[in-house]
Amino acid sequence: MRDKAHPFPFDTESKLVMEAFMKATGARLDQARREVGGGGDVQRFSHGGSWQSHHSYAPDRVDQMQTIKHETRLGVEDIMEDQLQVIERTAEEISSSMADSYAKAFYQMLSNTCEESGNVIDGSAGSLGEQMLKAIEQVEYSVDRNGQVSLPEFRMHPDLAKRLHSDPSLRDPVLLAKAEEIKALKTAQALAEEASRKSKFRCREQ
Amino acid sequence: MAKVLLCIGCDDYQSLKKLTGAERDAISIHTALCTGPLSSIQPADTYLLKSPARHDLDATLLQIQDRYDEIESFTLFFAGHGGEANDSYFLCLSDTRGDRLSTTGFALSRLFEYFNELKAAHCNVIIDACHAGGMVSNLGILLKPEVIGKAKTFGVSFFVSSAADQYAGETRRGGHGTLALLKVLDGEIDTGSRARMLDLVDMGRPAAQYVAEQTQGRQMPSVWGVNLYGHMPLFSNPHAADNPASSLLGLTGILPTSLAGQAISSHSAELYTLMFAPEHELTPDKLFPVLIRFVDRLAEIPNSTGVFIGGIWQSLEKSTGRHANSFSRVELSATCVALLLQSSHKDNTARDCIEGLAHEIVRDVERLLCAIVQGLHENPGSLCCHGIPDLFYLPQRISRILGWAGAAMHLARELGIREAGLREALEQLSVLLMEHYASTCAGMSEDEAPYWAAFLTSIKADDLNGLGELVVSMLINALVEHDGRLARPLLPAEDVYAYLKARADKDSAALSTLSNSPSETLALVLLISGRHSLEEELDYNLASLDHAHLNIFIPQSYLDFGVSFVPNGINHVFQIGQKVWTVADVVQRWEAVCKPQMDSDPSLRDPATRIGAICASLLFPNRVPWFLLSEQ
Repeated sequence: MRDKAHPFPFDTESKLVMEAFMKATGARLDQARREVGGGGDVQRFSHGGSWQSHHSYAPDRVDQMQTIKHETRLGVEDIMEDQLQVIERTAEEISSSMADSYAKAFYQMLSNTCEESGNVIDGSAGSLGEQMLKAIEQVEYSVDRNGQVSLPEFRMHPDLAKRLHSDPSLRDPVLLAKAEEIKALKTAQALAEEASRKSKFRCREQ
Repeated sequence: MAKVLLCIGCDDYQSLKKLTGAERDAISIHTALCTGPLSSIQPADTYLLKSPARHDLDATLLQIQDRYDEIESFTLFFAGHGGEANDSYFLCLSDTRGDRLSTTGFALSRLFEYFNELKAAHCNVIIDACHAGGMVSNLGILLKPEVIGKAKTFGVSFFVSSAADQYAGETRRGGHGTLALLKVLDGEIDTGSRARMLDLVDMGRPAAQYVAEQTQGRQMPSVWGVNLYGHMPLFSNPHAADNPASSLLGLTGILPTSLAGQAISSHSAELYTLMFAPEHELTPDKLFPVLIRFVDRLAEIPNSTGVFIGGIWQSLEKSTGRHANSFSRVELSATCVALLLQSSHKDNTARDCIEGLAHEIVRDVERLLCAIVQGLHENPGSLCCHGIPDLFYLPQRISRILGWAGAAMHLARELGIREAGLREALEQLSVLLMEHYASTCAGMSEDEAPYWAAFLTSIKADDLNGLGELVVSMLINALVEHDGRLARPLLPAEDVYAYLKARADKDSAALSTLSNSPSETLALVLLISGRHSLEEELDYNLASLDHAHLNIFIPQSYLDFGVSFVPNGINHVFQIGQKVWTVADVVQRWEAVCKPQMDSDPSLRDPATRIGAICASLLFPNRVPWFLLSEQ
């Protein structure tokens, strides 16, 4: 807030323009966040800095919310030189840096969860194909709201992704057949577990 | 501190038309205000000037300045000619000339300069004038910035009655305004208040009404007031009744020179801005953010917040009668309670004020319920008023009415007062709601959750002809139909049409952006269904709510329950179909985790805090008073 009066400040108008800018930047951030994951089922809380997920694997644990923030600086010179590109640059800077922070927090959370549950594999033993097969074996498939099995999604470093395309162990027919076999088994297991889960609801015949 | 009275009556004008009743009016008011058992002004602190010249008034005001260091309230009565010149208001004294009003009259702004130096906490200005220029004055000319701007450090109340021919027509009996005020003072006109003391605005409003009736609307006195340092009563109420709310008026004022007084006066411009706002803007969401800043400044000064908020309530409650929302007085009282929530455990005046306001809420809600019942008898559709928007707002209107009824029942129990009247009004209302609104009373928005929590926990399952069961059933149906989601809390009005359309079209993609997950309404329904024997029914429906999330937010301390964002507390999140397959699964975790969290919160042991938390949740409905279920 300024201490003294300003000639034709356009305060109210400027506030609305900034709101529109932040809304557009927010939409861009949402898009980036959805690409990382976890954007489809957003939960909104009105109060509190912590939550307890009673349906999770650790129902008595109270988690603290994390704040992701980014500060950007806008030079007065850019405005004085009528640099309209500053809009795109600032929006990109805010949304990409926030999305990066979100991605880091997201993968950290995944990593922590895997460490806690012991669901990790040793990346130094065996061929890449064998490691991938082991990973597939250790993952449980889930079933979505429409009853469709969701296949696991692999997130990896770009270097590892390159290796996936070139590593010969991943083209071994035996390994591919084994992977298909595991996939079929896991799908059947997921559907059976989903049926078992749904059967726990009471129905009138019971 | 002294209460000072200065009465001026001016009949004997040198150049203006002479009057015959103004001095007598000044004498009558002087006598009425400083003698008799109801008076609160000592005769030694009163001054009476008959037809003074300007230098006489200046000399008297200087004498008062020299005599007192501080004054609790300064009351000025003036009868005589008055007039406007150059957009300013002038009192005409004996040597004032009609053609030189601005140089020979006594400007009201000059009077305010004296008030400012008198270090008075509050000034009452009563003007019963015959207009020199023949114009009828309006309050706008008195409240101009150059006048009221000088009142930065004191509260002020006005009663201004003026007409061109007042003393010409009323020479035998006195001015209309003075006569009406005297009738209030001797009890002939009943103000309707049963409080122990009356302030100028209490007395002025019925007096103004009386004048308007007597003059067939030709003369309508203006009445306006703002308290800065607590309530500033002027006279004992001839119709006082022993009621608990009178404790509100027993609070003594704050010294303007004290720490608390300085904390208020240094930001009083904000208060004046608030008080100038039209009635329809004086809603909880407008009042709370401004007033909470004052409460925060007073937080560490013992016994000041209750006095300050009590005074603000006195200033504002008189205008609630003109508000379009009939519950505005209830919301004002509740806002004041919520403002005191953080002081409720440590400050006696805050606690007293909360209790006094809670009495007001209980009494008001009972009266309002009776009026709604009467309205429904006359017109069963009277709860509707807007056509299509009511598809969204009608369930909220009904939930709010019943929520405040439930809150009043809880408050009555906290205060240990009879709830029979409330119960009877609710009984009658329930019959009419069951008959005419059974298919639309609940299940549109998450905002309904705190109201239903207050209502459903205040009644027994078999009370009110099964209205509670109907409400819970409707909530279950709405949640099952919409994947366990209702409209988002505090949904902006511009999004309401889109939400209604999406619901009508069963457009789940559009609904999901305007709905809320996790839902506190779903949590409420799960926890309360057992009381209405709907647990089994809900169990059978839970498969339809598979994957839905529900939430129970419990703050770390209910002292923080009034702030817009409650920073500390736990969101207890559940997902249907993940460890929750029956109502009992949620109830078990509620008993094992949520209830103990509230049991260990010391703030809930104080009745004043519980009252404050209930009021906060009904004013700002994005929080649910879960402790009410805990007490079941």
